[in-house]
Amino acid sequence: MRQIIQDIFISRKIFIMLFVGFLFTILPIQIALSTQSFFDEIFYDSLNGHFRYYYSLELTNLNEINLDKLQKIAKVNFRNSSVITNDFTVNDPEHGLMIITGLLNNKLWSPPIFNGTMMESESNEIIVGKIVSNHAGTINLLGNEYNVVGIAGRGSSDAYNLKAYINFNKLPAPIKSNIERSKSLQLFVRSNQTPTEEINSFISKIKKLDNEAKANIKDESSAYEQAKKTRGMVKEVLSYPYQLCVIALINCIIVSYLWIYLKRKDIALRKALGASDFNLFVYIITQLFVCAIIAILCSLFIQWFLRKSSAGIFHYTSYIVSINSSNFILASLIIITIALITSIIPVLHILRIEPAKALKE
Amino acid sequence: MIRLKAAVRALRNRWFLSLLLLIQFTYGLSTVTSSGNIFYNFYYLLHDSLLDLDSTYLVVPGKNFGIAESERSKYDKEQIEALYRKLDQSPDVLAYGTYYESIVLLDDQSSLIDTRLLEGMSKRNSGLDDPYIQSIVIDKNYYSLMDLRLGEGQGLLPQDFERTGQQQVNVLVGSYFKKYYKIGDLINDQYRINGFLPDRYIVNNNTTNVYLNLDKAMLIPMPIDQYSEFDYMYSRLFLGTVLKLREDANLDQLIEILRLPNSKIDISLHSLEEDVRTNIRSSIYAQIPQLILAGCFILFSVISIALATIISILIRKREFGIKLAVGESVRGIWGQIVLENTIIALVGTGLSLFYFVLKFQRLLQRSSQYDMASVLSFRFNAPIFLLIFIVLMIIIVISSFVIYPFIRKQEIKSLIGGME
Repeated sequence: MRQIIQDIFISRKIFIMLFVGFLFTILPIQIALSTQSFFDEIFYDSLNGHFRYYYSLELTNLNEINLDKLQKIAKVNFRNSSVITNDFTVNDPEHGLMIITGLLNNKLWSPPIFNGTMMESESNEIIVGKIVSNHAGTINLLGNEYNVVGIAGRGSSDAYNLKAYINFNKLPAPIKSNIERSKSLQLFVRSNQTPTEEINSFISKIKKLDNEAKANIKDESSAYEQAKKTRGMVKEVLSYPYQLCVIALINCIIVSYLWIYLKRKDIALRKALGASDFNLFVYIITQLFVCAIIAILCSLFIQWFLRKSSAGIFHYTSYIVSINSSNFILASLIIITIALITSIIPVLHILRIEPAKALKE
Repeated sequence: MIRLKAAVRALRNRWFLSLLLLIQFTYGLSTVTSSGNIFYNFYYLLHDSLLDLDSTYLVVPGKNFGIAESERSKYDKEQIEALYRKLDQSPDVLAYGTYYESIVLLDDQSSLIDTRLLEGMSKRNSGLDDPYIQSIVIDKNYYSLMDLRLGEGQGLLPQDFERTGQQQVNVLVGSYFKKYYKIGDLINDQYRINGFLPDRYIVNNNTTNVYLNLDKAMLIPMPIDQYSEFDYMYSRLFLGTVLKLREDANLDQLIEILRLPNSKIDISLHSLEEDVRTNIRSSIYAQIPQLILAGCFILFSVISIALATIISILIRKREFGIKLAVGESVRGIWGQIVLENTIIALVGTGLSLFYFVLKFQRLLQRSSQYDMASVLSFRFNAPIFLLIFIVLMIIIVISSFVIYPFIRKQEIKSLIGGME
């Protein structure tokens, strides 16, 4: 180990450049990973919760539609799933644009409450986002009066700001009449276990009530996953740290190229004295690993130093700086990979080097 | 030419290093280009408004504007006129006016219209297939507020504001139309061009922070029937009123004046300068990551070019040693190296511009079609190319000066090595 540190000290200029390269490779990656997981959470907030399975259930031809009955059946039927309506985007004259979601059951999932309490079932209570209203009290939505009991929201996520969650049977009159007029309704069943059995049972109960009703079930999980991957704004935000990572990695490769070129004679001498290619590989890779470990420790220190300003950094730049174990493990694996990539050219040189020729130069 | 061939050959021989440098340039310079665009837009927004940024205020309705429809029947024309009279009397108000945004469909059947103009005014994906001119219909007060300084005999005349909807009228058009029309020409047999607008931008919607570039736009005087019709007046009061206020004007008092009796609609007065600056401020912060990336790119590309050159010299030391031995100067060798780096930089620039177009294709398309002034109106123009050129020069010059001492230090004997 002492020999390795001594060698690093001798080539300190090269190693400073390598360290800077490694640091600017790993730090953006860690920031990108934290940012991506944060935006993923926001994405699931926009879907009203993170579940393994998402199914849409479109009920049409509902001639005997009764919202109370539907809610009761849903409550009894869905024990392992959360059921909500689709989002109704409305423009309330008093509160402007808002997104209303009806809850058919709220035991498995309820919106995160920023302030206040969750509503009781069957009541005229409502949970709203902070842009709709930032305090508890009475609120008039589309001509109906509700009692705001909680403000929905979570951390820096703004996905709940325009939302309003109401018990399904207490939806505002214009939405109710729209459902009744179209005789159709779209529900979303979300669960961490396959909800198909519960859905089928629910449909059969609905059909018992209204034998002309039709149901169309669609698994939305893969569509949502695809939508999550193709978010333009997130891709744009994440592109910069990854570009910086590529630029820094290229710098590391070029520095390592020069490093091994300057050490040709040293390597040739070691080879001539009997060092195997494997020994030389270990010799090279250990030095790069030492450099990579210092870079990751420095990156962690920078993130620790910036963690208190994380909210401000997110507000201004859309990037999240946070330290968590999964990101740390992933980043460690990535830096090992980067160190290995950086060692490719030196290793190829070691394999190709002819001691006699190199020593003669 | 021989040097150029030698440089290309050298780059081909060290293709791996050249490839790495090209990737670095592609990513780095494209970021510089997008940042350059955004900073250019900051400058444009701050300096090229047709309305005076300091003194212009916009009437903006609150989020309860939805109740305007139900309140409309409570008011009449006289009440709005009384409100404007109060504005006339207010010492804080230097001028005010109203406008609304409109479009003028171009008569594409007319043989008098150049097909290139029709092509230029077609906006794909806008939901409207026909070519049209984005227009701002302004009242007489607004025209005075603009204080346009046009040539003698040009501009809108008082009688233009007295006409009704379908009559011929003088209009002002953007500089884009200069290629196709001259003063006095008619568009759609109705709009007589009586002046060209400066290349600036104007507010076309009080509630957004995106504005309309005037180069492809048209200013139309408001017909008298629309100016004095209650429904139009009521809508314009909330969505199209622009005020020019004196410094330290009492905004609360003015908001009270602008509120119709017993109206529940929230109204605020937004300073145009503050709106533009807020927009810029939030975008500047969002630019920090790009600026860090651009800075790192310059730093790393200088290091990479310098190191790649040193590696290249070490690989080709016999070649350089022989050149020096047969009389080539150190500067000549240095020139050869600088030429190689310049080729890499130029090809990298080409690739970066290609990548930039690919990445921001939709944004560039939208900017050129809709011609809006915002921080995200991406384009290629002289200042952007100048910025790219400056960044390139910085990289080439610094890396060349880093390499020069290394080349000077080399001795013929050590370069030629075992050949002695």
